[in-house]
Amino acid sequence: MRRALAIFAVLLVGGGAAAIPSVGAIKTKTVLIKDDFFSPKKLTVSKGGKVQWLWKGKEAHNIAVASGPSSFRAGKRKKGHFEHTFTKRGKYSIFCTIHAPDMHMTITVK
Amino acid sequence: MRTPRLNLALTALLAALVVVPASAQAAGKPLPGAHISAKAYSPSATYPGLQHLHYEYGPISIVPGQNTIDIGPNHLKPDVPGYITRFSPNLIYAKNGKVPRVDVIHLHHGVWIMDGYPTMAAGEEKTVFNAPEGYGYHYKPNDQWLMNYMIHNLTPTPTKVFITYDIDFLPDSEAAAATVTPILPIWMDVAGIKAYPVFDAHKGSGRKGKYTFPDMAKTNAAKRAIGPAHQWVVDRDTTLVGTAGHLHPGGLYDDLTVTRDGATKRLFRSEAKYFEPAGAVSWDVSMTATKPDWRVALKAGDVVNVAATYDVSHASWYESMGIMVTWYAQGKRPEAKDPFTQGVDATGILTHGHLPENNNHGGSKLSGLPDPTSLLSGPPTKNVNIKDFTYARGDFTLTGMKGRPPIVKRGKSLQFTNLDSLPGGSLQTAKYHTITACKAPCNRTTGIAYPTANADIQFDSSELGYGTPGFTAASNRHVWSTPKNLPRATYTYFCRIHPFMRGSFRVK
Repeated sequence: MRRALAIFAVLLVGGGAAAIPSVGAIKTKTVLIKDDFFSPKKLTVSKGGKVQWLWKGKEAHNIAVASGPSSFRAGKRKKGHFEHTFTKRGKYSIFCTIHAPDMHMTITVK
Repeated sequence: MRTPRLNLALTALLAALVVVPASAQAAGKPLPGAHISAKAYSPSATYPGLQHLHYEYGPISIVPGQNTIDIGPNHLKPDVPGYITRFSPNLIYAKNGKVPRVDVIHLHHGVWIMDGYPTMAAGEEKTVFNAPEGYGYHYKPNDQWLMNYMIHNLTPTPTKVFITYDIDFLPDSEAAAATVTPILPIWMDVAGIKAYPVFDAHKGSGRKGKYTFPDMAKTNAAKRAIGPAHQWVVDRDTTLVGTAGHLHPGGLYDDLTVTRDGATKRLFRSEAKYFEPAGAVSWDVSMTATKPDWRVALKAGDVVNVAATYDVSHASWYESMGIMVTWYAQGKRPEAKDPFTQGVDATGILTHGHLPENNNHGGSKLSGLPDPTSLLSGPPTKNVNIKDFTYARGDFTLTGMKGRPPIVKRGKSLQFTNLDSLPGGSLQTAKYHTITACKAPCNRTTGIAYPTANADIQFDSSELGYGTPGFTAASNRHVWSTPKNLPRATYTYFCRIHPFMRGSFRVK
């Protein structure tokens, strides 16, 4: 049943929206959260750009901005995703505080 | 393979993270042990035919959060009889042979029990045993060796390690062996001999910021912690030839004294030389050993004592140790000095300098962790479960309502329940946790020097969880409640075993 719904959804979106995925790719960038690192570790996005983190490891991780023009946090979890839209230019130093200092990434917002 | 470039990048990152906790060490005050040379090390004796043997015990699987003590037969030893003249312990990753950072995997202790007696030992300070020229520990191939160790995994990540040891060994078949006098160890231990010989040094106790155990043990609990091995009554003419101390972060020195006819003399003070910029708060320390010419003549009836002194001026040090393995030869050696008529107490010498595995000090403000004193209050709460390295309410890694400091009514206590180690649970996967007060906001980066039990109002749960009594650090209970008399404030705490675990609650 779930699979049937998924196929239905794809068909529904598929018709007139061949361009949607590429538009999304410009605005949203994805970071994978693994054990115990971010992939990629460095990322550049435009102001107003969105970054999505996907939890892909077996262990729990969180996200916290250690330094940057603005601050945000994502709570510790093992599954799921988190999104943040960057509205201020600058360099963001981001850790999983459980696996700091090794589990680190930087995002540059231009 | 890691490229040199990546290595550089990592080094730069780590360097950037090395920040001195500003409050810990008063500006301008010299570090403990500042007068001890960081470059002069105890020499290792050399002999024709001396062998350098390297052993790796393991692999040992370290489960996430492990804090258990294990013991097992150790067959990794020389094949022939001879003298051990040097013994150097270490810890390495099974995957790449590198030494783990002390804030990640920590060799709490390794004890090599030889022929039924604890003989060689290592703590995280990794002191090297060097017998003076002409002396050695005699080994026979039929000696039973046991490896007793406690390795902490400070992270939730499983890993595998080897305990390594390098032995300088002079087989009996070498001509030089005939010139070596055998020595034996006496295990001087303020709280031993037992599998987990510890005592607590509370902030503000003792005198002038220093607490000496067992001398200042006043409470019944403190007196119960005193071990019979803190004292040794000498029963015949004996010559001491060497010693070095073991202690934990916060420790300043171990003293070896002798009492004869009512008079007491210090034989040696093994001092902690801290490389740690924040002072006596981390494993970034090296201990002094006696110089090679130290010889002390003791007589029947002499009483030798060991005492350990900790800096309790700005933090409590729970489950601390004070041990001096002391080496002696039988009889009075010609060069031995009488401690009461000839001075024997002299400044010692290090066996190594700063170790790179102690480079992540922590204590940086750039942590990304919240300041719980400025967070909105969470819901009124009576119990906080601990599971998967998380305090269910008020944990610094949580966001939203769960991350806020839960409210505790004034006059009531907050109960904590450790679900990571329950009665009857697997001992192998048990994770012990503590609730230990640290000064708010307690939100700097985790490292060997941060956080510490430095709160003005102290509390500590002891290690919640279950293990073989006397053989583990577990308190054999999984529930603990905060004191009921806490004044209104936001309290912060950490887990001493897994210091990335932090939490808060608010008394209203």
